[in-house]
Amino acid sequence: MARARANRWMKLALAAAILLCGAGTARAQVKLLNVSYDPTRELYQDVNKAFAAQWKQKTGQSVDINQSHGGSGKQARSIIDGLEADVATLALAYDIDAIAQNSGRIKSDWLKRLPNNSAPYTSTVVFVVRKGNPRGIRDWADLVKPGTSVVTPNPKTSGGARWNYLAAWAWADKQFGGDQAKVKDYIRTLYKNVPVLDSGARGSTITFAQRGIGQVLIAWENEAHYLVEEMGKNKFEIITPSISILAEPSVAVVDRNVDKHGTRAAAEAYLNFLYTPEGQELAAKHYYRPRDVAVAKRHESKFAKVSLVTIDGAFGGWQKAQKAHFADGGTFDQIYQPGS
Amino acid sequence: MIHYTRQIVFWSVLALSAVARAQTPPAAAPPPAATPAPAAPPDALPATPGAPEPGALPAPTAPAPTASDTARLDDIEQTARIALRKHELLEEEAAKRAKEAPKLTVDDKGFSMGLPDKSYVLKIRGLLQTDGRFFFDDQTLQANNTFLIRRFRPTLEGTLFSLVDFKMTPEFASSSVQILDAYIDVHPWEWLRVRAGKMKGPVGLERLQSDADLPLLERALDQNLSSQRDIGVQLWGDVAGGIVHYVAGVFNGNPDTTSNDTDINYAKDLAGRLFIRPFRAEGLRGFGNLGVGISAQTGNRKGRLPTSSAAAQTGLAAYKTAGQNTFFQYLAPTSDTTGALTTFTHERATRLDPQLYYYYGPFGVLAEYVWLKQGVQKGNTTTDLTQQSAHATASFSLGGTEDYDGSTPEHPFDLAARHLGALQFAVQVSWLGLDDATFPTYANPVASARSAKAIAGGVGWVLRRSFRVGLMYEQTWFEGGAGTAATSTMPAVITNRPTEYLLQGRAQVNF
Repeated sequence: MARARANRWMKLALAAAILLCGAGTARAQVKLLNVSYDPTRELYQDVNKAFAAQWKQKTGQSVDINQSHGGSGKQARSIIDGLEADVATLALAYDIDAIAQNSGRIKSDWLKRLPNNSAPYTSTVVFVVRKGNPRGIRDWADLVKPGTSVVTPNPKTSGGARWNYLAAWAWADKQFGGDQAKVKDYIRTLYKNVPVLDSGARGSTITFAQRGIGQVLIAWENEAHYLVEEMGKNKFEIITPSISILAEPSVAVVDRNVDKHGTRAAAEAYLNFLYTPEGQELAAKHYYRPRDVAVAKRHESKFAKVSLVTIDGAFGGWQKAQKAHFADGGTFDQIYQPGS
Repeated sequence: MIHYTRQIVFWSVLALSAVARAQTPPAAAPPPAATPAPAAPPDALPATPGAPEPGALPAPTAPAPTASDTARLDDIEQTARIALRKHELLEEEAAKRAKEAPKLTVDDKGFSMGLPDKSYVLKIRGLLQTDGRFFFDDQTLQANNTFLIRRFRPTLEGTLFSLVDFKMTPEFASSSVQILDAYIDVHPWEWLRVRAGKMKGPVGLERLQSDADLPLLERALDQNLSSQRDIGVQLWGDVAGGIVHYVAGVFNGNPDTTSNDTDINYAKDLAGRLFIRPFRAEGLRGFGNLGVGISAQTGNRKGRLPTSSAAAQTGLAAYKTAGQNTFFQYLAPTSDTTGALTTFTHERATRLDPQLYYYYGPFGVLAEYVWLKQGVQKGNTTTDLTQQSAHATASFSLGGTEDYDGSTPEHPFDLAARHLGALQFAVQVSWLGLDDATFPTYANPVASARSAKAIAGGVGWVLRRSFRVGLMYEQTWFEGGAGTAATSTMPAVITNRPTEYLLQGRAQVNF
């Protein structure tokens, strides 16, 4: 009788302990979705691992971070349409602005919430050519030579493609002394040499490297290094043009979603982690130019010196650039006809 | 289609390439060899038939391609690669579009169409219950033996822009068409949602269970102490992954068992519910589904006196058995034109409803107790009456699992696969007791019972979630509720209302 009673108490105590553990476990789980642009897969795989370890140590909470990648413009559209992203790490500020303006899911002050206009690392645009550079491509002028086949994604869907386009524009603008007709003509000829417009930067890399199309790929600097190191050692070369553009991929917490998921603290910490020396080291490892001066100094040799124009300086900011070049009826629509 | 086009392109390009190679002009013949050909090695293959005789002039070798040939072939190859890549991209785009295209789903849960991300969804659902209801040992009740349509409820529900849900359910089974559920549910967060419209109020665990999911065919006696539907606004949500569920709202405060569409007084009820499901915590889900909680509702209520054109609206309801026979009602004589002899709701009515359920595999238990403090008035007399009720239901599924949302067969009915669904067995005890002070001032003791106890058992064949047939037997005993009314010379003689023996059968389609 006494034994039966003891057993009952033990069972009750066990159930209570399980309940408490369970409640603790429930608190100890957080899930984040990072919706990013095309070539950041490898960077964020490393960042996620490092951040999860740091967050666990700090808070005792396990964080499970999922990634989604695609053309930056397409990813922004997905978030506007309801993709439950906790953070957006996109190719350009304009795409995050678009989310803020068209869905209200991100507060309009997002740009000023984090240092460096919420761009924790930068990059630029370079060329990748096949080993030996059989076409002798050295600068933007070489891309419009007859018979040169250029691979770059579609600026309508890809953030990287917009940086590519604007870098080419900036070079032509300087080359032709600001003669807009000549600049436009140059861009028209350049895109006539583009046989396939992929929707994102990674797609273009596949087109160029795996499908063997084209003689030159216009790519993010980090994507170019990724290609050379991971996809085709001794098959490709990186060419740095005389002028390129300072690309500032931006990051933001998707306010409405994190409040809905109860993940704001983890999401904000995740983005802040990108600015820490550890986060900056990971950026440099994957050939993103770090903002942190000390880290940048350590990795100076990895990045070619190139004259960089800025989006604000050369184009008056993203809003203006988008309207003039990529909006419906903009310059890109004027110079590019599919199939032409 | 794209796949075939890609094949065509591929073969066309190969053919083009072959033709180009065939058309390549021969290069200039190489100069004659200045030195004699070396002797054949000892292990050289013997001359094949038709081969030139030794010493004959050597056959002209294939000319090496020129630079322009190579360039031309490269161009053709590039064209082929570009065409293939374009088709590859088209395939990717088509696959993506197919994923994003609206989808029509038809299954046991009904008809649903919507976008894959569920931001827009429209569902068509329905509940049809055809019953046979038979009474024994009571000739009066046997007159009510009938086949009937118990419930006939088409439902239209859906989601708009991921944020707003809606539900519209009319009831066609009663004598007049009724709106049962008609609400809009805005859910910006899991933990905070707003629902406005006509809905089930927070009181009554069994009441909140869907009619289609009840283990027995009818609800227990304690359903008499909560309204069927109410109209109002409620905040609700799930916290900590659904471990904590809460509701807090303002409602018209419909009388018990009713589903009125408007209020009859200015005062509103406050109602809420707190329900804890501890086994929803990570790692505890294997322990089944336990839910413990309490609901409460309180508010001032007031009836309406009769007028020359309208009967009195007492704000009080009659209480019924599972067989839908009234065993208790407050005094409301039809001859009372002034309302002086009629019992009305008066001032505050408060309900408390502790509740729990536990489901584990094929077993299920659900129990609750409802306490109602009801202010009443008749003429100049007022008082607070305490009415109470409770019930417990246990269910077991042979070949399926039990849960709050019904019995699910492990293998839904499928003759070809020799699956027969599941058998569900259930027993229920319930009780409702009325305050002694109710009689005789506010209710007639020879017409209304002062308590009822019921025991029920049932078996259901759950072929699929969408289709089941069931049989239920319920026996209900009463205290009081019959006898001879008092006369000027004789006091009332109160006897017990005859026991009710009910056999009910049902075929149900629920999708």
